Parts: sequence; C-alpha cells; structure tokens
Amino acid sequence: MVNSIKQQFPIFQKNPDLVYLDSASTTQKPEVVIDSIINHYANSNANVHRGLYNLAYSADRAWQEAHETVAKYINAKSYKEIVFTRNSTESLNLLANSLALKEGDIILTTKLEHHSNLLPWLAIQEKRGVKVEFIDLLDSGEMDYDSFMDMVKKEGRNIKLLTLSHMSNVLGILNPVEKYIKVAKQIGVLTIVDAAQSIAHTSIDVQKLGCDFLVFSSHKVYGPSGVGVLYGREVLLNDLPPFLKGGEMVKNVKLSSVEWNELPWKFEAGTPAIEAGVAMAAALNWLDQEIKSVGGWEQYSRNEEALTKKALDMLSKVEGIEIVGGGDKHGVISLNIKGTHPHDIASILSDSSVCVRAGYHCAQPLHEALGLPGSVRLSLGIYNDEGDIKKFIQAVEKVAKLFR
Amino acid sequence: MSNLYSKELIEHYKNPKRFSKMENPDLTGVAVNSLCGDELTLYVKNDNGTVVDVSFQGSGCAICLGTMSMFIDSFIDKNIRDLFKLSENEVLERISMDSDSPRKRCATLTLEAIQKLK
Ligand SMILES: Cc1ncc(COP(=O)(O)O)c(C=O)c1O
Repeated sequence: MVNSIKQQFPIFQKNPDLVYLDSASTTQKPEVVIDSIINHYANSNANVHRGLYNLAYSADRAWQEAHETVAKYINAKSYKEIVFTRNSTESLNLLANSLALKEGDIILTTKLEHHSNLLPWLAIQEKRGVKVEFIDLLDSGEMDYDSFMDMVKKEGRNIKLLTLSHMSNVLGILNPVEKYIKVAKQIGVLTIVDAAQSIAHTSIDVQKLGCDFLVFSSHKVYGPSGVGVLYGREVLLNDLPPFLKGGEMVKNVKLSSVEWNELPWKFEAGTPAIEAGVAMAAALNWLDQEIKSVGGWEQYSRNEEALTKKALDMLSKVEGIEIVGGGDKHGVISLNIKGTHPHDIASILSDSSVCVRAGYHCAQPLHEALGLPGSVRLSLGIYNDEGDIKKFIQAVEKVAKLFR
Repeated sequence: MSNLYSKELIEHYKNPKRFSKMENPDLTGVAVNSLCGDELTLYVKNDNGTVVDVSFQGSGCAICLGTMSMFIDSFIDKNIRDLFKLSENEVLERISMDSDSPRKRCATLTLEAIQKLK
C-alpha cells in the first residue's frame, strides 16, 4: 500500500528507506510547510509591526493571521491569548520569570517532566525561595492522583502553581490533566500544561482543558523549528509583566516611563522568526486537514494505538526486551535490551536506517525514579506505518542477537 | 559502522579483561564523558616506571568498555611513558572506527583515562 502521507514529505521521497522513529524529538516537515517558508522569503518578506508600505503591511497581516490560526487550532478565545516564542522551553522560562511567585509559594509538578518544565522552576526555587514539590508516580509511570490530593490537603493555599506535562516524552502516556486542573481551580492554583508532546497526538482544546497557560513547539507538530507558543488566558497575560524587553513590544517609550504594547505583542520583543511563525500556521492547517481526512482525532488515536500495540506485541517476542513503564502508550515506546547500552542499540539501528533516540530524552529524573540508565525511544509521527515498525523490529532483533 | 560491533568488541564488552578495583594503585586515571554518562577508571601499579599491574572499572557502552578491555593487556610490562604514547589512530584502527564517527568520544575515553593517570 502506498503511504500517501509519506509522499507529502520530501525527506521520505528522497530517502525511501529512511525509517524515522524519532518524531518526539522533532517531526519531519511536509512540502506545504517548506513551501510556505520559501514563499515567505520569495514573495512576502518584510519586518512585522513596523512598516507603512504594502509589503510590510501584508507581513503584519500574515503574522497576526498565524496567531489567529493557532488560536483557532487550540480553541483559544482570541489571537491575543497566543504569544509566539522560540519553543516550549522559552514559553516555560517566560512564565517562570514573569509569574509573581514568592518565598513560601509552592509549585507542584511531577517527576516525569522534561527538563524544560523542571529547570526553570528549580532556578526560581533557588533565587526566590519558592518550593518545588513533586507528585509521585505509580510503577507504570502514570501520575499518582492520591499523592496529588494528599499534597493539596497538606499544603492547601500555599500551592500557587501546578505545571504538568500533558504527555510524557518517554512513556507516551497521556496524563489526565483535566482532573488535576479541576482541583487546582477550586483552590485558586494557576495551571500550566506542557503540550509539547501531546500537540501532535491528540486534539488540544484549552477551554476544555481549563488550563491557565499551555505551551508547545512548532517543530514537534510538523512545523519549522525556531517558533513555539505560549497560550495564556487574556486576563492573566494582561497582568503578566513582559519577559524580554526591546523593540516591537512597546507602544510609547519615554526615558521616564514606558507603555507596553497590546497583547500578544507585549511578549514578543525583537524581530521574531517570521517565516517560521507563518509556516507553523501552515503546518497546523495542513494537520487539521489530514486529521479530518482520516476521520478525526479519535480515529487517528485509534490507528496510532493499534500501531503502538503491534510494536509492543512484536517487541514482547524478542528475548531480553524491557519496556519502560506501563500505561496506554500513544505512539511513544521506550525500551532497553538486557545487557546492552542504549547508545549501542541506537548506533546499530542506524545501520539499518532506523532513527531512534537513546539516552535520557531530557527526562533524567524520570529515568532515575524508574531505576534506569537511559533507554532507547521509538516515537511515531503521522507518516509512520506498519512497514516502519517491521523494519524497526528486525533491527532490534539483530541487536538482541548480537549481544546475547 | 557495522564493522564496529565486531564479535571481538562485544565479547570484550560482555567479559571485560582486568575489570576490577585495585587496592593501593600507584596511579589512577578517571575519565568521564558527561554527554552520555560513560565513565572509566584505570588503575596502574608501577615498578620503576614499568607497569606491573593494571585494571579498570567503569560503566558505559560497548565501545567505551570494549575498547579499554581490548587494550588493557598490552599495558603490562610497558614503560609508563610509552603508555602515554598510545595514539588516537591506533585506537580507532584497532576497533575499525572512522575518525569522523559520532561515537569517537566513546573510544577515546580509554586514551583520556591514560592521560589522566596521576
Ligand atoms: C514534554 C516536553 N516538554 C518540553 C519539551 C521541550 O521542547 P523544545 O525543545 O522544543 O523547547 C519537549 C521536547 O522534547 C518535551 O518532550
């Protein structure tokens, strides 16, 4: 069967044997996204928020439209709630720097977070005397709701922020963040959802999630690198001081006082990655169409789960395979082969043109909590099919045999 | 790359030679690749500048541990100064690794452990 989605990706057209199973690191880009970047530079290039000539005006329009597309994609109320940053990491650092957290405040998170949703908080713990506390994990790697409720009871009003990964980049588990957010809201706790992984695996509706802030990166959802998103509820963004200062983010500058620009521009200091922002919108529009054509996100998830399950079944037949954690895995499986170092596995897989990531995947505390010296991770994108899984399994069998 | 994981290297990785902690070594060299967490500790006993006993410990990938294991027997009876002369080329050739391999650092950790002997 011809994989019609793969055909839309130049990298797979040029490298038909490529087995790309590292989409959790970054996704490949469809032709429409690459074309959008070329088109921007060939036809529409001008700086944003500045010019009075037509070209600049249309660059401005495209920039705002890109924000509108993202707003619609995640069901935000307006483009004013959409700030373009460089990536999820910058969005989280922006929040850590700008949120009014002070000594004695407690930030609740989990042990499965990506370093980008851990280190910014640890940094302000040191600097401002806030305290970071960790919700326990079950053996499967799923979040322990009882541990969360115990903390809520114990710490109550001292908890000021709850920041959770929507989907673990190691375990592939979709965390039921809505349940946690609901509790947080009842006690007036601000909530952040790290949707860096989930954005490419499920539909994201910020109003349904009920979160105050949500972050993701374009490059993990078929868009270019260099641009990411911070969603924030308008009332909250209004009160939040800007993180970076400079051009584009001010209205009125006197030496004695400044007036910040309107939302969301107040948070977008300096010349942004304009072509990337515009191409991210093209990526989301493209993905929206593709998902519709497979029958919607629920159907997409079912297909992905079936493919994941097939991979797990085949893996279970290979001697020495150990799967990291349990739970329902959404296109992401981390594993080890007994007596084999993850880096050796990835190197040998690379001989068969199989691309997987090896190491801690920027989640060292999670590996420590599970007692693992790293792992090898397979992660699926919209373009992967059973053929990819079969080639992966064949390569894994080769490694297992080599080291047996 | 395929030649890299030879039967010989993997055998060395699974059953590394002289893999033990040494009591009272004269020289110890610790090398760490913080990028991937690999670690090697080389222990040497010398008699008037000649290596009379050697062993190592460590954790890491097959290339890291296997390379050290492949070389360590050859250190015995060598002059310490000659030990330091082991070159990158010799190491890479012995394990059939290209000089632009992304895994070069894993192989050269053996050299680093020697350089760090003190
Ligand atoms: C769960 C999660 N959060 C955050 C990030 C950081 O994304 P970026 O590197 O694009 O800032 C990642 C990337 O791997 C991730 O998987």
